[in-house]
Amino acid sequence: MKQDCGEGKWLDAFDSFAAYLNRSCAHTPGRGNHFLILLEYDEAPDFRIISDFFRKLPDLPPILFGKIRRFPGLAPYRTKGRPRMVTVTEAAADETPEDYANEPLPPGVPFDCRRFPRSVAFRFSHLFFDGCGAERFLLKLFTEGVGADEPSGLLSSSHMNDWKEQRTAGTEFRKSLLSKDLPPVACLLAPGTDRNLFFTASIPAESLLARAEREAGPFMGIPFLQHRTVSALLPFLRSAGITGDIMIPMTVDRRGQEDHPADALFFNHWSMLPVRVACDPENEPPLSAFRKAFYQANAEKRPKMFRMASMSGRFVPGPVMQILENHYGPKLGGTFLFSLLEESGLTGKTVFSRPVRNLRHLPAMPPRPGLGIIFNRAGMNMNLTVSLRAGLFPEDEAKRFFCNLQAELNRNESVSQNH
Amino acid sequence: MNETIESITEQLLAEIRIVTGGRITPDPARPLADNGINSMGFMELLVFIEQKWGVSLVDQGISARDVADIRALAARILEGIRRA
Repeated sequence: MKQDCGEGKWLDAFDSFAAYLNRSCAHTPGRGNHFLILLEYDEAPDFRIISDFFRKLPDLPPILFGKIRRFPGLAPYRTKGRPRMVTVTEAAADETPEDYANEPLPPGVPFDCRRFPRSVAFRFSHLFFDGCGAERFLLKLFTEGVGADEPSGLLSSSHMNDWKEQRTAGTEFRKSLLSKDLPPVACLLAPGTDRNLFFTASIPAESLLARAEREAGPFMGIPFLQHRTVSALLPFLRSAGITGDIMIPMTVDRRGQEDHPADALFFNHWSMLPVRVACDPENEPPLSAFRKAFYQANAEKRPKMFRMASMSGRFVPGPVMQILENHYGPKLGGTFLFSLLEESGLTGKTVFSRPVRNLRHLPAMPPRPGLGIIFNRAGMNMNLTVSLRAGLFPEDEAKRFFCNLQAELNRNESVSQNH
Repeated sequence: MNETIESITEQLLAEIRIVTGGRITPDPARPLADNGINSMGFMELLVFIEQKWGVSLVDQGISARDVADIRALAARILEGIRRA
């Protein structure tokens, strides 16, 4: 369904928070908060087929209908004028996907493709896509094709014109995060500029989710994974003398809920669900605390509030954000960012004449919290990516944390089942 | 409150339609996952259950058997109502 956005109409299109994150990554080697989707193969695909595909691919329909005009620090954005067509760039890589993720996107290109020996990587700007939307875009590109009449999938939300409602939502959301009555948040201090490091693993999905259901209950994979992550991370926080509550800003996909179309492609169907769990210096918080916090954040409708809130109501422009950061410090970023994409539509599909064995997400982390724990399920695999700012941990400790987390997830049962 | 498994099932079906954005017609004899419910949708359903019937399944605990289908969930809610 094509959404009529109208000439010069405000859209809840690009998220101002995404703009902030992108800006905060402006001085990194990647010069932005972008991410990779990696299609992995058992056998190398024929690279001539890939090159042919992109050579024959016409310019794609606009990422947005209309010209994007961004008012610095005052998103949302405004569309105006004729749609802009988009060119996809493609090339062979002479580096690793991780190095590629640390490069800037070509100017004005929202996504770019590189060929690796047994994988093909697509790099997307987070300003345009979230992980789920990017996967859907690829699926559409490789199965049906993307035509000139492609609906934008933008959310032209009625909330955007209700400033009072937005401000209320923003105030509530901000209060829930920044109350001075709350204890400090345990957090590693992310260096402002450096390259991102990535550690990846694939864990058998069925056994992991069966264990999550056994230990946490049905549909409780998220609190289970968060609990195991905290269990692996706590020794490192404590050895660095860092104590405080655990705060997990979690990204959530609102497609298919309320007025968010289920098949939408673009970024503005994304929201946040911050989960806060009390943690004393001596004991590991129990799994039940994560389950309860996850439930509580939902009961308070935080993802909806965050989605509705305007930039000024939710967060504030860059310089003021800096003042807030200085005042609240790590509280703003949380302990680590968490994301779980529950299923990929691309695994098992034939893309470039070969079946895709696995699909992995490699998102770069913004300075705060500087540590991202990203899960995505692709067929039989639950992929784990630990993405962090180099310098957040000494590199050998970062690797040890990743190995500990991987071991936690591969175990048949948790060592201490303290629900 | 004179709830029965049938009346609770009906209300759950209506809520599932809302949670899933009206995309599907839920089948009471099928598992929740087959009715378009994922972990976020399940949380919304738990919030609805607590607000509607005062039954906190997060606190009381819930097993795979309780979500085998929508009727089983309705039976679990009824048990929670009676226990309260």
